[in-house]
Amino acid sequence: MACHDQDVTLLSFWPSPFSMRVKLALLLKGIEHEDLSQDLGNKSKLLLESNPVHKKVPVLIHKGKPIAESAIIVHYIDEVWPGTSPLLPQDAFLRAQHRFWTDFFEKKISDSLDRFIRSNGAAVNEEFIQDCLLLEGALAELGDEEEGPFFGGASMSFLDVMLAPSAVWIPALEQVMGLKPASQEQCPRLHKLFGAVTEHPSAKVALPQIEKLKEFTQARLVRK
Amino acid sequence: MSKDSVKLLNFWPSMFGLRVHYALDLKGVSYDYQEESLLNKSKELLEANPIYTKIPVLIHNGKPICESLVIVDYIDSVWPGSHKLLPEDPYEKAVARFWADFGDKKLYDAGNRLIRAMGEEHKKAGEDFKWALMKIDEALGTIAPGKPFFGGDAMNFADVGLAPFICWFKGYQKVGGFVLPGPEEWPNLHKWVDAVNSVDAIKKSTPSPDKVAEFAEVIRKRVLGAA
Repeated sequence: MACHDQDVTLLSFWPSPFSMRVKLALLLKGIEHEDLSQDLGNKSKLLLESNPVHKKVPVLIHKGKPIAESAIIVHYIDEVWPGTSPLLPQDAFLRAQHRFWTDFFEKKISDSLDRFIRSNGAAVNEEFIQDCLLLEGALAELGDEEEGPFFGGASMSFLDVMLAPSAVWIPALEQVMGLKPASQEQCPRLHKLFGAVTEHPSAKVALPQIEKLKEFTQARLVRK
Repeated sequence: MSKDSVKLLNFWPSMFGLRVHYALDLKGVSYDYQEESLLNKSKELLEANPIYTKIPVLIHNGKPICESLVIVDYIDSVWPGSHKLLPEDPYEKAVARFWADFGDKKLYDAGNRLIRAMGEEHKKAGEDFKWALMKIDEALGTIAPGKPFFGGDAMNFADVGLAPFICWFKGYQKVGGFVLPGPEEWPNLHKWVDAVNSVDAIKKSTPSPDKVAEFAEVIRKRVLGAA
């Protein structure tokens, strides 16, 4: 059942993994919203007024009030619309684990991918595969293979939403820039998780097609 | 009723560890404290935080929680009755989270560069640090006008996230070679600093700014010496 809540606007940028996270959360919960695509090379008055501190996407504007930072936005969405597709676990310790691994992903994996892109693929980071292995370990510990492929078991949870954009970004970087991700043998659960993400009906809408991301990445390479 | 076992592994100058102290002390939670030597980390720390081998770590009934803001969030969930840190309203909660996160993204980042960077990068770090404090001054005026804290009359999640940097101001100014603007320029920030420093729970664990400054200068000398 779709939740129609007036005045939900997302300031987005389609290739941004942070933007994708918020889009996915909104779609999982069936929240109708206006998606305003932003030109990051010529930032709109709305974006600069909604996020004056960081001037970045994504921003969620709900009933005129802006919320920035993707993890904070997804927390907000989960709190305001708790009924459908709950994302954060009930248990405080488990919630802490979701937050810890989100932070780990950002500090380590996201950072590695960022450096890889900025260096035009020159920065080879052995740590990247090690970090994926650690995430695989977390999934073994926190997930439930019998229930399903996600950290949330059969359905997507907070951590799955935070990681979902990698399901399209990592293949795009692999195919265009030769990124060497962890193999299926090394990270079988993660591979299953990302496979399930790309098949998920909400993720199919929220995440761009890998081909589109490849074109985007290729275009930026040529420009350099 | 069994007693909770609560233990904090920390290193005394860490502003991240101080966040955890503040959260526990504001809530009046009893806990054991273990000072860690970063050059000789205890087996307990290495086992509790195998991913980063860093402090702070909170060990609650044998289970470790790492990363300071994750820990503070956890503490607020587990001990909600006393001195609630996160507001009930989801929007106010998001604002509080944003400013605590700002402490990591902008304040800590600039402060770290003040200690470790050279030349032009060092100069920029000073400007970025001052910019961050200016933003905090503005935010206090917008979010809680006329009130001492982000949380209004009492410290909330944002205050706990940012307050530990106060005892580092002296140190940052010394290594940065600048003096922070006074209350004429940043009235809200200075009122906030005074208000934080007058809270008994805060006084309990805050290290002396002079000691922290000494520590900051030692690291700076080491960085300069290695350059």
